[in-house]
Amino acid sequence: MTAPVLVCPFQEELLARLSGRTLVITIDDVRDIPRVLEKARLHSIRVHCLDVRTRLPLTSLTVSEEWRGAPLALHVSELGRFREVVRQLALLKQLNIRIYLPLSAPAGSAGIRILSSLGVSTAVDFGDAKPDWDQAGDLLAYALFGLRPHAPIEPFQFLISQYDQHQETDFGAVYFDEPAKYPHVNSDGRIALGRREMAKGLFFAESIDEADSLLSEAAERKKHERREKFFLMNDGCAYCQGWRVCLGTFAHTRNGANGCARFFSEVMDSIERFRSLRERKTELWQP
Amino acid sequence: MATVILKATEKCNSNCYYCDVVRKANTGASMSPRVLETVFRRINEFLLAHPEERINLLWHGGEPLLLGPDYFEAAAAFQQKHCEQTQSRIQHSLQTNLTCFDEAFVPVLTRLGITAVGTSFDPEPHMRGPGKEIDSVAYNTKFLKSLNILEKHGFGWGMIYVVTKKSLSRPESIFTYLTNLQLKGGFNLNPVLIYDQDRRDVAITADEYTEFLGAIFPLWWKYRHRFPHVQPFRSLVENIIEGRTSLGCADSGRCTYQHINVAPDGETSQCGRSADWGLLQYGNVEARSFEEILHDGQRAQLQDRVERLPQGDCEGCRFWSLCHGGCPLDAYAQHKSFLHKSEWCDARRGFIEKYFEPITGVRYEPRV
Repeated sequence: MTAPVLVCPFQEELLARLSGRTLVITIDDVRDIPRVLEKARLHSIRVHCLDVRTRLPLTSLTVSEEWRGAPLALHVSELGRFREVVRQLALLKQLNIRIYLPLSAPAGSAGIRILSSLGVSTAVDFGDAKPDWDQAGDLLAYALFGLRPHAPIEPFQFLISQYDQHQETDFGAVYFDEPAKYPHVNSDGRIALGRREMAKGLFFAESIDEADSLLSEAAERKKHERREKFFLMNDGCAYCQGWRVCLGTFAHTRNGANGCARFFSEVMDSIERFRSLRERKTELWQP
Repeated sequence: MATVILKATEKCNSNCYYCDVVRKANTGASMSPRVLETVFRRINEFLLAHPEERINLLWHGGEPLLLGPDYFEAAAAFQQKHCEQTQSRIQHSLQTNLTCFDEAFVPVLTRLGITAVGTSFDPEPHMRGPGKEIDSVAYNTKFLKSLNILEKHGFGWGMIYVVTKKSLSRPESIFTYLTNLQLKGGFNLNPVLIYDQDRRDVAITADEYTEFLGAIFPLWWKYRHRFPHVQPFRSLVENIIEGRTSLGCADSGRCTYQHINVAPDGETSQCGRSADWGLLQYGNVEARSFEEILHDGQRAQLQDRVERLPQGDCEGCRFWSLCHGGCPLDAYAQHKSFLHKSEWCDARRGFIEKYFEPITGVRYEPRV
């Protein structure tokens, strides 16, 4: 089994305790990026990613040369003014960065398409409220079938590579929300299976060393609990055609056949169509 | 391959809404070690006499896992003792409701060569479960926990979903649920079988079964690459489109000399259903060999049925080679005679003509 990547807040003392580990370090200010990278180096941390959660539009941030080489997951509130994006584009395209844009932001879906078409990797931030599934569907179609070259849009790119029609496919890894791969560490060094568990104070291990031996079983148990939770209900996500890729992730927003159910069903249909088109080698009658 | 259905116990911890074992006068008896040992002696005797044969030993009940892991250990020991030369030709399978399955069963089931189990499930409330209230929450919770154990140890599993009157209001939802639970679709959609009175008002007609399947089939056909193993659809595709012959015991017309049901007291019968209904009794394993039981004179009436139906109820039916008049026990339940087709033949024909052929665009033509 591959060693898990720990997701933790930036605290120097914590980094010292996690020395030698591979981490996703969460911060909320882009100005901290150079300092965090420096501290990580100091403590022999392998940085899987810096998860930067700003509440600002992309164009209000100053993209910096110092970000070069840093793996970045940058969450912004919206795209902002297009001409500002263009001004920073040359540098942005040279960075190892994926930009997470909320679907609910003004022109959120358009923003993701614009960035992607400019060659910048993006991800849909579905948010906690009820996403606009029609917009998500449009993005899906663009991500998979848009003819113009564009950078990957997550979680669709992940699903294109990972979706297995005979299995459940969990795309939570795109959001560092997959227990077996991305356990979360709090500032005391206690370990939770994910962001939600951490917020609720549900820890499965009191220390990193303990987590190493307990993680696999705890992650498996969580999977089982999910199945028990949904399959014991007389209605809901277990009865939905989108289950095998949604896995109840959007149960709290469920709005039936016209919402998440239709969207996730479309996700599977689209990926299967995409793969089938990719495999079809039709040669034009006149080469 | 001969199939020995071993009803090692009639005890069951579930009071399923539609179950005949609960409904008929049930002694709750379990097979004694002496009878169990005799079964293995008989198996060995049969296999020694037929070096080309194999035996599928299907553990059935009641709920066989109520017997506990030690009972299965005893069976493994009897097999080792009596079937030294033939045990490679004995294949064990298990039909269980999984509600008393736990880690303790894993080693012995593995030792018996069981790599997959058959089970039954119903998401509808109060259809499967213990007690007068039919506590489906308790049943389904335990069932799901057992699936976790099965999957952890690499066992495969398939299930039967029994279509009852309660299923008819939402076929697509139930189907989707089942495909989400068993992602490759390893399940059978079987109609509820009622021998005499429908005391609990669950029976469905052949037409209702046709419509239930018909509501689901477009969805299965469109997405059959995701969940191919849904019966009866998969079998119809194999037989009608792929030109293969793949029929279950009810449709093959070949059950006559292949099945033995052994009750807890060693009494034998044609199959599980005939035993439940007190039909086609062939004597006790203590007194008769499997050879004698498999060639009991009463079996001739089943063979006679297969020979006579094409001139009787099934005359001119182009689907004869797909169902052979269906299960003789179903025919008996309706007509008190084996010499009729099963009422489920109408469901099959209706489904093929109304849904299967138009949706797939393939018309069934029997091979000459």
